[in-house]
Amino acid sequence: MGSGEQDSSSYQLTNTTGQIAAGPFDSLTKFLGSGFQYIYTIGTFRFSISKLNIDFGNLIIGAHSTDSLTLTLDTKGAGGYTVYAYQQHPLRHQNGIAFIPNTSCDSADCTFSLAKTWTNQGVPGFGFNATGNNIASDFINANYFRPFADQSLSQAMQPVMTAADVATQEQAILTYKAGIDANQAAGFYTTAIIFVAVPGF
Amino acid sequence: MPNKIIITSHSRFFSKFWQGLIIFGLLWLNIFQIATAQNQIFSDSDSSNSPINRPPEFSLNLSPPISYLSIHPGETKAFQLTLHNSGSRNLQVQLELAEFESDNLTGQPVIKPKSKFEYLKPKDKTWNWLQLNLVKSGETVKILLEIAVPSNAKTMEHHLTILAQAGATSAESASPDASEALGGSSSVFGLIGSNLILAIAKDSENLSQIILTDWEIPKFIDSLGGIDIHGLVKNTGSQSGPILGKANLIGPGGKLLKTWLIYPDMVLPNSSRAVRLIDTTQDPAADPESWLNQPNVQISSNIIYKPNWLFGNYTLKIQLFHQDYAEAQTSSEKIVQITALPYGILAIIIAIPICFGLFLKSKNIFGKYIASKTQN
Repeated sequence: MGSGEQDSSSYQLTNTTGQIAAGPFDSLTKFLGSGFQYIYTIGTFRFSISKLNIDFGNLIIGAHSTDSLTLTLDTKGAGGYTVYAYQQHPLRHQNGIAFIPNTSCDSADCTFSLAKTWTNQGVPGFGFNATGNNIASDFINANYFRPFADQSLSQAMQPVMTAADVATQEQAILTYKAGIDANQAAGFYTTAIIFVAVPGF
Repeated sequence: MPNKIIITSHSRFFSKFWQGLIIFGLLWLNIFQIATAQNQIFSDSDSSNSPINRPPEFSLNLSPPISYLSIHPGETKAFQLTLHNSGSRNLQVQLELAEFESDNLTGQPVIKPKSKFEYLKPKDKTWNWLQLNLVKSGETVKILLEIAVPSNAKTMEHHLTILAQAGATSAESASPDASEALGGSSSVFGLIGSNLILAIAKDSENLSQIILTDWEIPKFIDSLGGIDIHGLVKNTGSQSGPILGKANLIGPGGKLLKTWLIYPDMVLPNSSRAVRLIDTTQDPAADPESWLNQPNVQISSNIIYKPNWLFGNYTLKIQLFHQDYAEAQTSSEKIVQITALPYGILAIIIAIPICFGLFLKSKNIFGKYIASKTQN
């Protein structure tokens, strides 16, 4: 592997020219011998989302509507990765005033950082469940939901997938769920969900 | 009339016959169409266009995932990112800069959006922070960034994450159906990060200082229990540095039983990290780098030694080094004596006569009580 600095008249270009080592760690001397210059180039970090729109269709009073997407992660680095998620705001009516509130689950005990069971169709709200590889441990099964961290309330984004090691095609299915009660104002409700994938250091 | 009737009934008969034939034909046509449609569905589900096998709409590869760079005050350096759109859709991508801090355990960055770090900027103006750029499906782009540090910049380490963001455009977002009196949808955005640990330093000296901190090592263990230990290190220096370390377990006769190499994870300054280990007992004398570069090296989070039976004094030695795996470079060390005794068995041996004695005593008391009752 070649790694180092190229001098130029105006600046230095830090580059790498490939890997020789097949292992998860390339060369220890890179940052031991000469200070700090070290670029971890083993493979790339890849993040995929199966689709970019979640559609609940017609929301029915007293019934939950769902839709899902798949997150996929690949990283060759032994530091693993974390995928965080948050929402811009709760599902908001086109008038900007009415909301479908974030779910508090069946027993009003789930939070944006702790999933609890939400199966009672009579309990309205908006939340999500995760199943698959290296998902957050509070998603005990497909009945466990929590609301997304809410950016409009300055809530910190929360991990939905975390791994501390090399990952190959690790997948999680995120199921969004929305339910309304009889008091919900008619109209169309939207939000945006943001997933942030970062490699471990 | 009868003939007429006959003719009429004949005509009715043929009329009914043709009607029946037509209905029968339509029925078959319908069945055929349903079968064809089902076949189409099944063939679609088998094809690569099914929802399951369909390529993801958002898929970005970003390289390098992690970079550790050092720069002197007054110096300028360029730094290159490679972004590849491997998804099925063309994406409008924008770059943004965030910061991160350690979670003090696993090495997963805790992201803090919206960095105010001023010395890192895209060199190509079209890639300025928060500016949209089209990256077509299958396209790879090289993004050159420039780190320009003024001569009066404070010497310290910065932990940055360069994020590439893309997602549904407003035109593509699910729009309300006129038939839906009450509907809902969510657009989805993805961000992928590349971590940049940037040290602004006057020289290239390694200023990390990693020490062993929280290790709960029992001094006494049960012979049947085994040894299972984990711990943390802390970087008290001013720069990130790798955990260079080894551990070994020596048995009662001075025999080397197990050796481990501590995985050289990086620790940010003023933060902690749990130690991960590679079992090197098969070849303790081998160069650490040869172990680290094994293709499928097994990394564990605990020091584990669990034979069927442990007895006597065991010595666990954990060493950390600075810059090199040399005894002279030892920076932190922990040597602990662990005594293994069959406490469980001893407890049973002690408990049996006590229980037997208690049984005899209670039998005696109970006997006397029965006898006194009988006399009365």
